[in-house]
Amino acid sequence: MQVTAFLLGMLVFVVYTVLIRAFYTVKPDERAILTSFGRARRIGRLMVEDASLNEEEKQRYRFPRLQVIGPGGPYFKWPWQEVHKVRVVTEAIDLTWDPTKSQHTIEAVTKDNLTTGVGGQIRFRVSENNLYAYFFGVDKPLEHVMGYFISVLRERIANFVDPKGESLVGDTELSTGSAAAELSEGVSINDLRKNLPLLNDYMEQQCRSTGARYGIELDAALITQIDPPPEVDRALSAINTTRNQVAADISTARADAEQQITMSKRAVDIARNNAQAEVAPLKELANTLAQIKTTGGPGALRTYIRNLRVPLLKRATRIVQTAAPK
Amino acid sequence: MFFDSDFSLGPIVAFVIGVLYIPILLAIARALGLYAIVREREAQVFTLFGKVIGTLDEPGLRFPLGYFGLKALLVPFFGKLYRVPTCLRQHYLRDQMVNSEEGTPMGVGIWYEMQVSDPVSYLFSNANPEGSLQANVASSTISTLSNLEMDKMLEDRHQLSRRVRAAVSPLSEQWGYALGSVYIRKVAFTDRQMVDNITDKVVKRLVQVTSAMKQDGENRVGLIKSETAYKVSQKMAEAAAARPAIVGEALNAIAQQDPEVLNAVMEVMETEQLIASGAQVDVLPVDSEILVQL
Repeated sequence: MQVTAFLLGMLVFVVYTVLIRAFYTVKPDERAILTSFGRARRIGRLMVEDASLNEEEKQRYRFPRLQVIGPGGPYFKWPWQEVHKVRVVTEAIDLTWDPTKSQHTIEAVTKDNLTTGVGGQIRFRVSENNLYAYFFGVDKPLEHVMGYFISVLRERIANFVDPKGESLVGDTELSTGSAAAELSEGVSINDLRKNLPLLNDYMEQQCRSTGARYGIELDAALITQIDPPPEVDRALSAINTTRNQVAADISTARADAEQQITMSKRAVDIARNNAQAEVAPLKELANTLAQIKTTGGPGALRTYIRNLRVPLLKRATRIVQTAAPK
Repeated sequence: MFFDSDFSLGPIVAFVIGVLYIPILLAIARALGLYAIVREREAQVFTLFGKVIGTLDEPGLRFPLGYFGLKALLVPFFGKLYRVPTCLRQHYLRDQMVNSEEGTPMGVGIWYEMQVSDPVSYLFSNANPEGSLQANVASSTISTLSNLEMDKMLEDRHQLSRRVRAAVSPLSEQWGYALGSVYIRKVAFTDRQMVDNITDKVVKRLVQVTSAMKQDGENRVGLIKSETAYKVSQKMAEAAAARPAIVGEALNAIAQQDPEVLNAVMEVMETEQLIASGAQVDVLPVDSEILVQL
């Protein structure tokens, strides 16, 4: 009876470990690897390769390629085997995430030594090609990635200048003067804000090796905020306000100028027309009198003028006449 | 039912023993050192009578007897088994104080990776290898960065990081640690007043830009206005000169044609104006030589 019970107990243990615990499934967003007696199943002698690592780094980040179990199931495993699953979906994490410190922004120093705040997110996913690094090679992969990312980001911010060499004030905005040359240098905070996409691209490019290093691939760097101290922000806003004000003043002046110039051009036309109007009867009268002279000679012209003066005699109030000599 | 006098606990105990038999047997075999399961990125260091007899670092099922002979059987009684993780770890040393060449106090944060490369040295060469490594990285950082120009400290971080790594690596190797990547993660001003001064400097520069833009705008507006005034005055002068030019040209043309006709034209026009004016008229003879009081 007791021997039977003992054997039954052993049978229960075997059924539980070999049959019940032997089957597992992998969800669509998961990948799994299997270890036998603690050793992960490898793909022959293949190692993870990454061209972005230099020779010295390749020696340091040497991880074997593992046999990855894709979604599906039920899969079978032996009792001495263990399944390690991980979600491979793209996830996002705030830049300020730091397990050892609570913070609301990342502090960084710009090229002109201004201490500014940086905010945003990074999108990442576990690298299917390097699950060994994620599961075994690196103690805390995400902390590693964040440590590396923040280091590169701060270094880049400290060196960042506008790649197009654009100044704070556009080339067309300042005409001449001693200030123009002085102001041709960019203000770092403005350069950074104008070129956020470029900064994000640089970070993505620099973090291409994280998959090979730590088993986490950076999908995108989404730096969305460059937060300088409020007084700097206000001063930058004042520049924009002034820029708009100046543009408005210049537009108004140009409009006034155009109006006045048009008016003066019209004044010339008006004066010419008035003069032409004055000259037209003159010319007409001259032509008429010339015809009278041509037809009747100089006497006819004098007679015409005498005739013209006749109405004046009607209006005469006094006539002084001298006696004719006898 | 369980408290029935006829009920015997024997089969239940036998069943429980049956369930636990295999795990207990395996645990005993493991405790006696008959086999060892070495996990990925783990090294197992075996010591006996105060001496290291060997290390297992190849993952999988291992039999210490095959590696160390019969000595392996004495380890559970007269020795010790140490498990050392050899995965890549990282540490962030915050706020290391350095002074720049200009005397500016700066806070430096240095982030580094480390990995146990020699488990035996890691266990027995240094009582606190991690603490010693931290102290080494800190002192190397301070000696590398102290008295550097502030701009160089801020901008040449990667190069400086490599120098720190080169300085620390030989010592860390002695303690069984391999130093991985080293990055100067943060360089910051520790003096609040200095941060405020720099902020003030940037603000003033921006104010200067604002003033320059405003002044330039005013200059441009002034220039537009003066150019306009010049053009308008030119045109107005042209307008004023239009009448004399046109009338003079017409009179000259008539005079060139026939001066007598021009005189006649002028007399006709003057007479017409006189008639139209309605003024009183006194008629005097042409050859009158006396002054008539009107």
